[in-house]
Amino acid sequence: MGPFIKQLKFNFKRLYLRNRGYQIGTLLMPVAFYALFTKIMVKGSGPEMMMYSKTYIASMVIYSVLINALFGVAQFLQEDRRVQLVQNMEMTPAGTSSYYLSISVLMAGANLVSAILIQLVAILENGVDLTAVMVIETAVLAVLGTLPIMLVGIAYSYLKSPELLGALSNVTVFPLAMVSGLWWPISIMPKWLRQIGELTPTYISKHILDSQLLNKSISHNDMMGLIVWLLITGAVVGLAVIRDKGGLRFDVQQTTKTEKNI
Amino acid sequence: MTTQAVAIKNLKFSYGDKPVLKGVNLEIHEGEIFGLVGPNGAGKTTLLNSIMGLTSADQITGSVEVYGSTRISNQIKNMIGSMLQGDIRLTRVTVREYLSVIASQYYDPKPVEAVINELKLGSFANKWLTGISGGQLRRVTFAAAIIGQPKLLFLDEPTVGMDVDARREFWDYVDNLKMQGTTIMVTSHYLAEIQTVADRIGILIDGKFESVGTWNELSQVDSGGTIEFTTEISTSIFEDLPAVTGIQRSGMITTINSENTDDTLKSLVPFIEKLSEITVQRKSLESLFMGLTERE
Repeated sequence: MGPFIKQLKFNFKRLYLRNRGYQIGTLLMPVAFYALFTKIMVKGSGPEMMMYSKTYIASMVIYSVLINALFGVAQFLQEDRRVQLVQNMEMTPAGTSSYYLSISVLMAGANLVSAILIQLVAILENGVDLTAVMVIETAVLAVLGTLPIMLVGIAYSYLKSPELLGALSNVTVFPLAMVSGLWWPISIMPKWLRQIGELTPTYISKHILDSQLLNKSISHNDMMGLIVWLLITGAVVGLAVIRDKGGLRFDVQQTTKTEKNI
Repeated sequence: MTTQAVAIKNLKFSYGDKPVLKGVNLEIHEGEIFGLVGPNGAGKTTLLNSIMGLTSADQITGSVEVYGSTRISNQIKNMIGSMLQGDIRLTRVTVREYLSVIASQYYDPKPVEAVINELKLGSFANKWLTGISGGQLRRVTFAAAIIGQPKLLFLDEPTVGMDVDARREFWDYVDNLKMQGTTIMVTSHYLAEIQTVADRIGILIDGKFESVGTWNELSQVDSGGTIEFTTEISTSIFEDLPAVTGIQRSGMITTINSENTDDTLKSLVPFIEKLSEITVQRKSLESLFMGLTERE
């Protein structure tokens, strides 16, 4: 437990507690967007607004997770590899398992906090009717139902260039947020764009959270969609890891091998 | 009988189609300081990485054993410390925090405060890693390398960025580690430092060892130097002396370049009463190294 707790404290302080940019981008911005879009930008009847306030919770939670994955976790992992922190860990007896486990726990924790915070704002500002149990269940679902999105962030972290990662993250987050209906309802988009949006992992995760918040059961389509995206993003991460390990890795040393032609 | 900390047999390594190590054979004895020198691109860092297991198994042939094992188990990792060329400039992390988390990765680390005091890091232990100088960061990297109390220590260009005093203190500490039984493999472009601290030196050129041995053994290979003295005797008398390659005269001062200063000195004995202020400068590791690289 020793190395894991040390890693947890170490990574919590440097990646989250002391990182104002991260706090603003991942936590405060989605909360601010929620308040803005539900209070100021949208007008409607009482029941319509209440429905909108509820479903917009899911939108902003998923948006927060997306930012956490591509601007948070992806950049943290890439930077730690670039400065050889990961390589140095690999050369120690405790290895990198505590490091990666602590990052995963902190990643999930950040998504949990974000989900709870947005729901609290919804309750306090918009009078959305959510019990404590529902808030926690929604938060837990926000962590589990967004695993494919987090895996995308992990896959992106294997990009060598920080500039390329930044560009790719921007090109992914904003179009994905728009097309999957995180910022405005997907129903207002043209049919062809709606069809694309409904296939995205962000839309599927949002739909799962909507079901939870509206006390509906999660559809089979959404579960299948989540599993398919989990397999796809898991495979991409696997390939990225293999490709990365093929260059530099801590490996079993070879005894006499058949000499290759050089 | 000397125990081998590291035993390498016919190690070959390539980056793609480009061979970098071309059949390296080496044994590093337990408790010694082994100095690895060579020009840029000779393969020094690649050799270090291969020993530490940081290269893909697909790219190497031959065998590398560390303490008799071809596999770097966790137990062996616990015995190894390394100071690689790059320093870890993590953001929003203090020196103390960084050393503390590295220490937690080992089974029986030295107390962090003890390492901070021994290496005199106290004045900046609470500063961010990004807020200290290059030389200070190098010392922190060294602290991280020794905090696990390694038996085998790899130092890759350890004194880059350190000032003269820091470098002197660093080598004193390394010497102390050696006296405690630590085996050390060090690469450096400061050849004079390697010549002073290393028990044995290996000169790696173009992926192969050109020479390996103690400085005395290596200097036998090329025992040249210069002999300088004051005399009124004409320089033509010295031209036929053994191993003389050149003579310069400046006023009363004669300088003889020799391929073998011992032989030339012996032949000067008959003239000794007519010579004064005799000084002999033997070849250094630097000149030996440059001679070998020029030959390549």
